[in-house]
Amino acid sequence: MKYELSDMLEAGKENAPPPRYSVDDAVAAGRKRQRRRTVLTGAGSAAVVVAVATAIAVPQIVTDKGPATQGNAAPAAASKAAAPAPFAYPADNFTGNITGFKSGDLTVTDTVHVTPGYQVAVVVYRKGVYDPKKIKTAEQVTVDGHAGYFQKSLPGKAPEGLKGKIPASAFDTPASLAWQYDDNAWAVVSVAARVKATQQEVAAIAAKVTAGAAKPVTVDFKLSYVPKGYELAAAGPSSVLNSPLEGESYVRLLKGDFPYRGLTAPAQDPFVVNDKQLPVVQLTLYPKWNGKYRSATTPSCPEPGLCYRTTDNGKYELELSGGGFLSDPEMIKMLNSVTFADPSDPGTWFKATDAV
Amino acid sequence: MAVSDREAEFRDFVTAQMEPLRGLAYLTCGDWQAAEDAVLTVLAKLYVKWRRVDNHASYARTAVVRAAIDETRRPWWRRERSQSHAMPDHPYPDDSTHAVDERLRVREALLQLPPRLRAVLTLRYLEGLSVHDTAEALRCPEGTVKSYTSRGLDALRQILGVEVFVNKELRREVRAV
Repeated sequence: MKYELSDMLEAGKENAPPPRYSVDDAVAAGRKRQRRRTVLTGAGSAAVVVAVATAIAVPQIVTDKGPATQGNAAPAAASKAAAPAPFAYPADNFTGNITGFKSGDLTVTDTVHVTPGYQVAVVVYRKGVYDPKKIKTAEQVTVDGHAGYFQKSLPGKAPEGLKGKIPASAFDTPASLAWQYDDNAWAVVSVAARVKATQQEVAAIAAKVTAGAAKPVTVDFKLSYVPKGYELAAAGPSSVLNSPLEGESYVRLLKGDFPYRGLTAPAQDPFVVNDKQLPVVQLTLYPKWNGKYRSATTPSCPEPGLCYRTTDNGKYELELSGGGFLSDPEMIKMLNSVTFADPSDPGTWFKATDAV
Repeated sequence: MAVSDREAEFRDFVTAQMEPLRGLAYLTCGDWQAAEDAVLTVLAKLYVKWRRVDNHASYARTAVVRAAIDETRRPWWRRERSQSHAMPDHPYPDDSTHAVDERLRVREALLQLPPRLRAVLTLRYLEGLSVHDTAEALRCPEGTVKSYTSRGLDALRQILGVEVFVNKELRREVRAV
């Protein structure tokens, strides 16, 4: 069978729902814009990354290292489970050691995101961090002689309040395989629902999870000013489970201790401890073409809680999201303290632990 | 030009172009609601600068593609998508005929491509833009357009497991319109 591309594109937009806007709406929007043209802002978007074609949520491995002992925890008991070589969690904080590989037509990247409790590429949790209670309702399997569970992908449903704003598919449950590679230590492989990976394909990925040399996570910017109490909580080329863009870096700062225990998935904003949300600040550097707002080397805040600054050559943009916890002047102060590495040359990047 | 004349011209333009622009935006971002928001935003801008724009259709087309790509980069979009690895929504009708199955399969394949790559294919092979014009519309080098075109076609072939070809005659016809 052959497809002609323009026919494919025509077919791709068939069966459109009834339009929400009329010609009158367009005229009204134009008139409104005319009235406030002196305060024009761009129409696009802020940073970023849409999922990758072969998007895989990576596995994580965890050792029994609580936040209080993060600084010099011993190497994790190796995950001798599914990996052909034993997986040992890096001893130092904010280092990653997942080595990328291909499995069929799916690709697992090197470590792209590190927190005190786990590293992401494949998600490998430290011992004691992952709680398998959710996946224990799924099918029991054995991974290289170790007990595990396989959860097939399930269609999602947007919660009330988000219906119509966010596609229901954003809440799909990915296909996941969790296995206990050591006592109270779990690794998890999750594959996006839309990939439609079979249990065998997910198991094949799990079997290839290996540890390489531990390398400090680096980012291409650093700050000389951080508001009091905020500390490094996550860093890497990717904010979560995205495949990063060229030159992309991410840093999360949290004010207060977040307990990396009992997780059933990588930690996400909001970070709630004892019913109280920890203040969080997130910085992401990405290619300027991926940005929404007009920004320059001088920091500016086009929206409350969102401030931007570009590199000197204007090719990259740094987004600072204050999460509602910092004032715009405070965020401008942070952005003014930024030093950029050369985003196109990872050799110039800073260790995440030196970046804040 | 009196305001009423401008508005009449604008209305005629929107009447003719709103639906094609909506489809273009949808193919780029993969979400009908986001696509419509992008189109409305662009039309509002065009209304303001109507007299300063030479080619209204060209302006609207390129601006809509950019705006649709932007829609996929909004912070909430990124946060929500990053947690689920989900692609844009694409509701399917409850119809199991072969033709519908094929159409859905094609749409599914298109939606698996990244937005910028989809935008390149859409501008070149649906809108009939040249490599140069596509590069200008997306503010990227011509080499990127060529590379994205090749990658996009390869990706569609792999996803669908069939040959995907380009009807160059048709493309010239589209451009001539």
